[in-house]
Amino acid sequence: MKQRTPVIIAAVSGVLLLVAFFFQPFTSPYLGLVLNWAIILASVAFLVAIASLVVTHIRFIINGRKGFLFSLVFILAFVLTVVFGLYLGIDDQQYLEAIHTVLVPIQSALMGLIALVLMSAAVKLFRTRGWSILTVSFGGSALVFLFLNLGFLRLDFSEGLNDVIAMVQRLPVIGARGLLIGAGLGALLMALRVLFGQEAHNE
Amino acid sequence: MSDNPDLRICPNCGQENSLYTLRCIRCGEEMEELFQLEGFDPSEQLSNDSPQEDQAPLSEVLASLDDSPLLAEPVENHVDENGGDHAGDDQSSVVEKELPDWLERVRQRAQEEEDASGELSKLGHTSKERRQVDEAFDDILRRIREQNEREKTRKPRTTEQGMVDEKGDPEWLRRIRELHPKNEEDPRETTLKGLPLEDDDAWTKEELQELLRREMGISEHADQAAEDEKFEEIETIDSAEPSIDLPFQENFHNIADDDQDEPQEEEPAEPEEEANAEEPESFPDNDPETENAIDEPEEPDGGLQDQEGAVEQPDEETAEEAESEITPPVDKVLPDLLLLRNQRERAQVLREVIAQEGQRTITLLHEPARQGKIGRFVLALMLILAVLGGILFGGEAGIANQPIPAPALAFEENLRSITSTHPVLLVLDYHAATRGDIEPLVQEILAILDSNRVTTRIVTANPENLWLGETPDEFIPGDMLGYLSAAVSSDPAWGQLPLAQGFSGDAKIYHEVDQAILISDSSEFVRAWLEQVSPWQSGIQTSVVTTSVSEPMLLPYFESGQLRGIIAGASQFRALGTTQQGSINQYAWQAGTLLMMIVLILGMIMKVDEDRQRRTEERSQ
Amino acid sequence: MPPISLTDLIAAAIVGLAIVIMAIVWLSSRKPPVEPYEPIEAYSSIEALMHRSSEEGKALLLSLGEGLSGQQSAMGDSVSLAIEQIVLSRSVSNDQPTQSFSGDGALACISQLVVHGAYQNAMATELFRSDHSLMGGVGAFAWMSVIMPELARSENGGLILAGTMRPEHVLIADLAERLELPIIAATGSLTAQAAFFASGTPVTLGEEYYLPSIGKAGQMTYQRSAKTLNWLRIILALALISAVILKLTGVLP
Repeated sequence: MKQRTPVIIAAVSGVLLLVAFFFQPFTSPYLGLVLNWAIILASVAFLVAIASLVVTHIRFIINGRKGFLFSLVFILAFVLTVVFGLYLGIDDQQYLEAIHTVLVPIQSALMGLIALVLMSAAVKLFRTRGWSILTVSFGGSALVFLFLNLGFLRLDFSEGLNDVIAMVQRLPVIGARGLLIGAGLGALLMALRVLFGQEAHNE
Repeated sequence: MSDNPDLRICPNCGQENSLYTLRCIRCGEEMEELFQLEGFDPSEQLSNDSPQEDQAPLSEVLASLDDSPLLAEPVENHVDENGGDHAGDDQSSVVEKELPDWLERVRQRAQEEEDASGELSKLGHTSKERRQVDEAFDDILRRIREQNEREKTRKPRTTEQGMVDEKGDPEWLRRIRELHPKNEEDPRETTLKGLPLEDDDAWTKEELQELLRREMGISEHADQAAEDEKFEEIETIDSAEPSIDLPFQENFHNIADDDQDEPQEEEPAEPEEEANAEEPESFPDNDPETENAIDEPEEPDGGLQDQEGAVEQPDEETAEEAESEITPPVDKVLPDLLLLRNQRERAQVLREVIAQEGQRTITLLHEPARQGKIGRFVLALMLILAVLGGILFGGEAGIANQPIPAPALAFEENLRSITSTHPVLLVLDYHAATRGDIEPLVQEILAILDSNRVTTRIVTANPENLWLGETPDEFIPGDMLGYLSAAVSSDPAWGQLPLAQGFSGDAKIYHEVDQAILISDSSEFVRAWLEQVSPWQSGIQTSVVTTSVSEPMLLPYFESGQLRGIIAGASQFRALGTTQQGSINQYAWQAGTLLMMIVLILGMIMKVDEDRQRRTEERSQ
Repeated sequence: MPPISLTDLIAAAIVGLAIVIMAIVWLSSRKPPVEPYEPIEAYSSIEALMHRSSEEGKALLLSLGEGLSGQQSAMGDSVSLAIEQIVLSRSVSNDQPTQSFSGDGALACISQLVVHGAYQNAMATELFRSDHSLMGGVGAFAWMSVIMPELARSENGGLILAGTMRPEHVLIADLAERLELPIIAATGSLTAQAAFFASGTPVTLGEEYYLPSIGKAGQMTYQRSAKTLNWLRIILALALISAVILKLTGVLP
């Protein structure tokens, strides 16, 4: 019974919200209220998680855990950001500039690394996964669409060939539809399992 | 107790536990009911004793009975041998007058019969003696309890005719041998005495006879027929014994599911059986004469010979039976070794773990790569050179002449059609990493909207967007939940919703809005918006500014009409009808794309080459 | 209130159909199937990784993605919590405790509850510490930047990525590869699946992510859900083909 109570609560809450969505003229204010509660709860959980993170990193520093320098940098950055944000306000342009100056280069560098990583992954793709229908179609389609998107191919002289290319360019749409339908069905089934309590996992 | 006889329920928490656990596996409560003395009920003992009398030793209780005026005797009739302490004789005359009939009868009976208090109470009249008696009595009780506990734990084993035989073979080994009897085709080697050759650690017939005799307590000559029968049974089992099997072979268990795959694995064990069959001769224990000399020096040899002869005949009979039982099915395993399903599954998991020992089960991404660190460095150099080359040698016009896809054209058309009558909602949700792909487009879009004198309302729920690009007018708490809450809810009759107080401006962000432009680097965000928010604000037409990575997953939504347009990445900058370059050199972009294609083809070629080399090596080997 | 449109009715019909098929499959699947569906490669790899980390006495890293409370782009992605529960129930008695990171505040709190529950079930609450489950960062890149230094620790036996992810998180896979650390990715994000596929990581493809079954845990649910999904796909495919035919023949406008 102990394990069934949260399952029942989750299922009842889900069903009530679903029903509320479909009978909205009557339930609209209550629905909004429930969503507000969810947002407030999520925000409080967010604060709790931040506090837990800070305390954990402080503990790492005190205990001298391996890699505590990273924790030190984190605590320092966190304290500075919070203190100056509270003092100057988030509308202050200098404050925004300062954060902008730190954030943008770091994330841009990460994106540059991603480009390099994907290139090296492209070299090793077939060596890692071998020859299979999936890898061959993956590599082949990547080549075709990269080439088409380059814009080198100009086929103004032939309508038929243009149609063929247009049809080939629509293939990702077809594939994406199939994937989205599949992912949607999977998510639907997952949600139904939660509603019916089948996700209460007992080993 | 639970329905399953192998389990018992904890009285504290209701958890099912094994019969032999001392403490509950869930709550840790001691399983007090486990150990019980036969005929001894501690609960009765406790309930019968009054609180005052709990501490009183037995001797005192018995002594107090003697002292009871109800059972008091005249002095001349109850003189104790030890001069026991009897008090209250004077009271007897007073009490006698008030005694009911039944009590009189009891007293009469007590006079006639012996003193029922027993020797212990007589002996322990003094306090010291009583204490000694108490201690002795407690000691006896303790020993009885311990013995019962031991017997209880050993109880299931006793039903199997003993856990360990005289030779020291454990029961599980005997059972293993039963599961793997000798092969039909193996010729039965016999000893010099004509007895079938058995395994080195198997019982000889003489030993079995001795054991039987000792256990059954019957004479050598009497009940010989019964012994022969039992001997046949034992012989049947014995003849079905396989060779020495190590306990960790795969097929030592009685898990039904696995045995279906097991038969072919039994064959390698056969040579072992044949090899082991030759060993028993070297063991001195197999010499019946030696064994008998040690165990039964008084036993006449003639009896043994008679029994040997008698055994040979039933031996032939049982040999046929044994051959038919070479591979006993699993369901003939002794029923006391029952596995629960849970235990069976865990045993299976353990087997899988053991089977995976030493195997690489995870396809590690790393391999002794020929590329190594230099390869990655070379790739990086190539990429940098390609991009630099595109920038330096691309010419003044940095915009490449690329085809504009239909979704981008539709976006531009929709953008131009926005009038100044209604505000446009711009929803920001991108990261600093993708600003290079998005912000040039956003700036151009805002310029176009400004030129058309369209009012814009910029909102974001992503804290990063507070300091990226355009400063939003409103921060929406709760991300997608916040957008959904604003779309679904209406002001209740009792006042404002809590979140409305967190807005600096108007909480109704969708008020009078008929166009929304989502500026996001995540296709998941746009999908969530279209699936959650758009149905409740169906009057708002949505278009998207995103990255080229997310574009393919949003195309189905454009095809279905849920999106008015999609413009993705700096490569489609030209769709906005501008001749400006923007912040991205598109020749450099093209060079990078070309390099990516080359690298992909290179990977295919390297794989083909690697396969060819491996085939060549295999052929040469 | 917006009127109930045809799309809403079709959606309700699909949900109803899913419920009916689920009920039929559940009723007809009381016994284990004779030919069960093959286990999903990524989840089998997770099981093998759990065994291996247990044998080697190393810690497992578990990253739960960023989507639960709607704070990030995905909503209601709780599959990562189911995976965490299964992994923890097996690895709670390992030499090194399993470390979880989340990219969402509510997800981090619930993850900590799951971890605590696992220790409670194993009657080892004294071993639980709150830093076994942390929030890594408030955004995708912040969360990624927390995980990457953790990969470099020598006491890690492997990394399991489960939850909502972005294609940019392929950096984690690359770093794990260079550190020779086994990594497995289970995500429902299609673009992230494509990126992880290119990197060679064992990854759940398509809707496999929504069928978590590791070892014996969740096997019946997986079998039934897979069967239900198959039937749903078949019915939807037939419906789509029928609609196309009807549209081509002019029956449908």
